[in-house]
Amino acid sequence: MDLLGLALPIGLGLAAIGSGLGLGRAIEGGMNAMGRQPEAIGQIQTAMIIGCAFIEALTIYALVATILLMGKVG
Amino acid sequence: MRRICNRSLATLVIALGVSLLVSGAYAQDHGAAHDPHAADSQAVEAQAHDTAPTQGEAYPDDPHGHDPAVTHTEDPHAAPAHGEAAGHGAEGAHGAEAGHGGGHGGMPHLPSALTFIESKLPPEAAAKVDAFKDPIFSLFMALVLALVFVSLSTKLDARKPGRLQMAMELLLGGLYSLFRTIIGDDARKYTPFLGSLFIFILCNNLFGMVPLGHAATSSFANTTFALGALTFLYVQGIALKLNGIKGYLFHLAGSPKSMVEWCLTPLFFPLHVVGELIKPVSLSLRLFGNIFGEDTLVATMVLLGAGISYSLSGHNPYIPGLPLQFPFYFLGLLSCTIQALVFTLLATVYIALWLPHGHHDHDEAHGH
Repeated sequence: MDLLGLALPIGLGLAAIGSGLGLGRAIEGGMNAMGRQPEAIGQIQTAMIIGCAFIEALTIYALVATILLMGKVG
Repeated sequence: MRRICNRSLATLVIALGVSLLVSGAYAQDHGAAHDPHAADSQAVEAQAHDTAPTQGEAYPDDPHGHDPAVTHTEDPHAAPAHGEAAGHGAEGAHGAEAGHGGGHGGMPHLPSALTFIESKLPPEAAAKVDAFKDPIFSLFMALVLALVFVSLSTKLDARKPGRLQMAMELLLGGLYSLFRTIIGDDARKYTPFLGSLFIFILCNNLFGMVPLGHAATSSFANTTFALGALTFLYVQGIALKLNGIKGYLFHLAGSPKSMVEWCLTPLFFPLHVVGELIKPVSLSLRLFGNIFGEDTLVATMVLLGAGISYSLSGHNPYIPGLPLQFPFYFLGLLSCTIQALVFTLLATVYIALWLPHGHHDHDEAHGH
């Protein structure tokens, strides 16, 4: 039984779905704000990038876990 | 300008010292722990390199040699010596572009300048050199940056502006105004450290895109954790200096104001301590994961392109691989810049959170 080989890509994909949805919402909000207030683009962008980094980190944790467990796939 | 240059240079040198110390200790452990395996696989590889021309003739009949991509994503320890040799023969024929397995559990990665030096060395020495690969590349990058900045800081003069002066002012001024939007006017004090962090990470990331280059930031324990730990120490140092030991502990307790909040302090204190400790880990894991993932993506595409052209051309080893990795270079350039920016911006935010009278946004403060 090598369920790990099946679980790793599925888990990574699930993490990617979650943070994809999150990133979509964050960027949607950022773009809306930028459209409404073009003079504040710099600040909005900075805050948006920081938020995106936190969201994206979740996928990266899944990727790191995958890399760590890759050696155990028979 | 000159002062900023000199201070950022000093910070860079200290950063490198720390990163080299950490990575040196790690590399020694790593090399010692994996010595038998590493030496073994290196021996196989060295043998493969020596015999590649003759083996290259034979591999169409070899079941392991049909698809170089498959051979290379296999664990190098498990792969039969003959299959390895055949793979290397194809790699030689495909030129310097094709990657080879190894490193993180058989993940494909592109050869760097060191790969060719290693192939000339005896196996044990090659394994040692390989363990020090990331420190070597980050040291190289630091030396280049240090030389550039030293020569620029003595040559440039605000009274005789030229193109270089403008470019450097644009770079430093841009970084400064970016940090000022987060920290406020105190940003001037922190720009040397944060700016050198940005430049060092960006150059390291981009060096992974250069042929025969290697991104030192694609290794966790060797480079990115050293940078994260350094940022942690810097931020805690600033926090202690600005808040004093009492203010520091008060902040860690969640800045309680009412009686109810004081009662909840035993709950919040460990939470905030763990939150502080996890910051460098999450910073460095993010950088490592992104850069490593992107390098692996490019290397996988190179292998795929080589495999496709190899099987389409009727197993002719002299046909170059399809450039499937081309679109991913643009993605790589984007993510290199963004990751350097994100690392620096988060370090800036961590400093901003400790400032006594700054932008004090507690929702963002502990919301991760």
